[in-house]
Amino acid sequence: MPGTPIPNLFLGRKDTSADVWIWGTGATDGAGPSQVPPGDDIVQLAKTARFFPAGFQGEGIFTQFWVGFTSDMDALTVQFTPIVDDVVYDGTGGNPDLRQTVAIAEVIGTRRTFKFNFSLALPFDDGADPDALRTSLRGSWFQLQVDTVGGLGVGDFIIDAPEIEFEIVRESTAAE
Amino acid sequence: MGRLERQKLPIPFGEGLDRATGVTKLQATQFEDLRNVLLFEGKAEIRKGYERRSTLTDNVPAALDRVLGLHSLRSESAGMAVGFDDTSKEAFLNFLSLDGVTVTPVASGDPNGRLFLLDGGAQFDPPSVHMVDTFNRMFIAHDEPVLTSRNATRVWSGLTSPEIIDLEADLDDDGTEAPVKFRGVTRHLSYLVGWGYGTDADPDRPDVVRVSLAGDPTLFDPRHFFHAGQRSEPVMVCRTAGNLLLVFKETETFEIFGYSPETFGIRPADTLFGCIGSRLAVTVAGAVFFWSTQGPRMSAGGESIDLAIPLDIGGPDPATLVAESEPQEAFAVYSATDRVVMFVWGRRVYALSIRQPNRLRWSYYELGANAEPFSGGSFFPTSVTSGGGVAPVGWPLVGGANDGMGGGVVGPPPALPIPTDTTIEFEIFNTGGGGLGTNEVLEVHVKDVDGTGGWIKKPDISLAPARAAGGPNFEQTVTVTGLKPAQEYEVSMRYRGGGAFTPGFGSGDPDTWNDPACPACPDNPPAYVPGLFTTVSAPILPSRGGNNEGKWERVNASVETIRVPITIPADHELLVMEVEIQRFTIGDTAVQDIGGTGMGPPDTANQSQGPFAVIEPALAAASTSYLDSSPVPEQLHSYRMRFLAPGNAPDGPFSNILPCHAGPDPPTAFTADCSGGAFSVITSWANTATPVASDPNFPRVCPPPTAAPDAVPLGHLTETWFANKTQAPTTWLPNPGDPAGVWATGGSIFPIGGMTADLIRAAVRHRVECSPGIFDYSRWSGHDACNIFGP
Repeated sequence: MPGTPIPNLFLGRKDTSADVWIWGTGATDGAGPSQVPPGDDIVQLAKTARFFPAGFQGEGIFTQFWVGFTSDMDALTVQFTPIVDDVVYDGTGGNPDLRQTVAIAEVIGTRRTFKFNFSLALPFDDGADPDALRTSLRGSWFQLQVDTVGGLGVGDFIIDAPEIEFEIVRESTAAE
Repeated sequence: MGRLERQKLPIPFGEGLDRATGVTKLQATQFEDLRNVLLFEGKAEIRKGYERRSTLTDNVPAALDRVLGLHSLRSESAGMAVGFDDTSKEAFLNFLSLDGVTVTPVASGDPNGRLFLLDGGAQFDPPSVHMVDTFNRMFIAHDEPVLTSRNATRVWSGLTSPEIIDLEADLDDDGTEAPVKFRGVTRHLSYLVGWGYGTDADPDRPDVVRVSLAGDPTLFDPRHFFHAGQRSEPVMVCRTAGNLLLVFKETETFEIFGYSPETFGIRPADTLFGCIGSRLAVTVAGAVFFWSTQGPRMSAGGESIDLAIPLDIGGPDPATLVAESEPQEAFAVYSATDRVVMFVWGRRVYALSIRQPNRLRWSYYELGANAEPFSGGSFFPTSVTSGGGVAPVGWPLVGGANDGMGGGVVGPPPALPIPTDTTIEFEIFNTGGGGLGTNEVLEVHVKDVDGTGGWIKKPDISLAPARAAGGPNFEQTVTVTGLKPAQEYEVSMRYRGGGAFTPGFGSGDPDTWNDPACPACPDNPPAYVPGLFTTVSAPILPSRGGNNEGKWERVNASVETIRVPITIPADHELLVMEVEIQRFTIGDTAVQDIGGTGMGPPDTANQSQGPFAVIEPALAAASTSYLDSSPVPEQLHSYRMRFLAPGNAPDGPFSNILPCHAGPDPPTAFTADCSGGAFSVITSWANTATPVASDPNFPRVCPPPTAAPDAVPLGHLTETWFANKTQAPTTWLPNPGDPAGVWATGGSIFPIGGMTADLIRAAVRHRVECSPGIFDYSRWSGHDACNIFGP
């Protein structure tokens, strides 16, 4: 409600200069007025719990995921990295790169909600046509990591609930 | 087994960290790692940053290095902060506007304007402070374990009495007040609570919690205190939880219950958990969130509740998570906008969302690498400044301020502002009709033009009934108090009805107040008055009585000095301006015949007529004396001085005139005696046989630095002179009967031979030898006469 008196939280700087910072303003940490000097980038990171679709000893195929977000931010890059059975599909260590990136580089103005669909399929390289056959990620558990890349723009960025699509290919083996 | 249907699983982004539950038991909605997000229902938002609003300064003002503490000043809808100079180890108190933009150093009783100076033996460097506002005062306690290095608890008594003083109390009940040195302070019910201090005679009591009198946080009954557990285990911090006061030690917690000295009591609340850092506890919604040896907990009294499990405190940190600080540098704050309790450990923040009280959720914040905080606090806007109320009509105008604002004023001729040293009085006139709205008051903001330049809101002023009646003829005399002497001020005013302002006057920055109907008007912003000056009092040159009130000193055989004492008036001690000193010298050596009636000191009645000449154009105002290094010996010098105001403010008036003879003090009374047909001088003063500085009749002989105060001069004598008044012209002659080197003591008789029947006058002076072969003479004493009658 406009005019509602909400307390302002202030932080006081540790060293170098006795700066008084107001909390909850701007896209960086510690910037001066009008961003002079610029502050430090805020790096958002979220790593979900491990999802076992078929129990600890079961196995599933993870086919695709959806991500929705609501934003009026004028500049932002967000990266989604799938992880299956501790294999991080970020293109390092010989692992395929299945990272998906959403970048905003324009002024949206008002809040809008976006939804993106990302495939978790890998090309099946049989020495012939690499696109002839594709296969989805397969394993016991799935995890999604969300990072921002670089600085944030001005405005809000709200991540709504992602969804993961999967099939169970083998249920957990019961104890004998 | 056959192939199953494809399924979808939502992963809501509103849940928090859970690093303790096993991977197969963990709900898919929980997170292994979560940084820099605000948690909502089913969504998460990237947190906002933080921006610099101001930088704390000392009283020069020069920027300081560190912010030790921040606290709201609710009665003024503003805040205060303590800044620290890492090099000089000085702490200063600053006043901040509600938005944190305007920062003003606060004057203190300390000559350097500082809140305190950190002792070299202090254990905590940088220091730690506790601040609390109550009853329009700000209390600042120095949280230092070493008692001998701990500074006294300081009190800032509001805008109307802006200086900082020590909190003093007679805790020994012996009739003597002494500075109190609490390690921390907080407020509870209508009391000020301080901990970690016993009495002046038994100060080192880390287990003691003291309570002030109800409604007056500066008064303490020595009997009103509690022992919280064992003496060897210090109280870390006290925080209110509802109607309880929780007293946290490092590994246990007590609670003080009751509401008055008759009902107060203390009992154990939690025998296992306490708070490990004096700043790691914060009260939110009747509960205290604090950090124990096992991580964060919550208590509203009784045994505390564990909040630490999802964080897996003690387990491995998440990869790449920024390191945390030491507990002494960590603090807890509450972000009302985010509904998050923040435990700030340097750049690592443990953020607890309390948006849903029955489902508390954790995340981490990683703060900027070049923006590590040391302290935090919330500033609270009051409901009357932001909520409700009826928007007033018009704005006040000040008459007679030579600001061109008189046009359009309807009503009687404006009166000129009347300044004193620390107040300005002026009349305001209303530009708009309409009666008084709900809770309508006058807000006055002032800016010290020669100071830091920021706007400071002064205490609200009630409006006169004429305003309630409405109409533009409303007028009222207004007095703005708590100003600094000899300063140029700008003033801006507005009406406030409840939380509503006249359209165009709603901003927190008076420079932006405008009449929206006429943005190009020359008087926009209206209700703004430049160039109001406070006055300055004269310094005082304290008198010792008599005619030799300065302090003459013989430095060596060729140098004499006069030291002029200076007393700076109250409220002027910390003025950043200079003192001009003037001197007027009149002859003082010759024996003088005054009006044919006798011999005596020179005519000092004209000493104030001068001409005075400037001898010191710019002495620091904080000086307590002036050393005149070139007085003409054996002359009477008169001194006066005044403050030179900075900027455009007028200079101050001259002080009283202080005379000082460049030589030793004169003798006091004596008598000319003609009994028995012979003339003699009988001294009646009671000098000791050997002149010493402590002798009230001759208090300064060979003053320092030539000799110690009680040193005996190399030589000293009393001279008597006489004159036969019937002869013309009068001729003063030294008494040929003066025995060389005689020092008159009480009742000494100096016969003057050869006198015949006549009116004989006598005069007396001292001569001392402080440097070998150098004689310094006092002024002549008063004169006396008697008649020798012939046979």
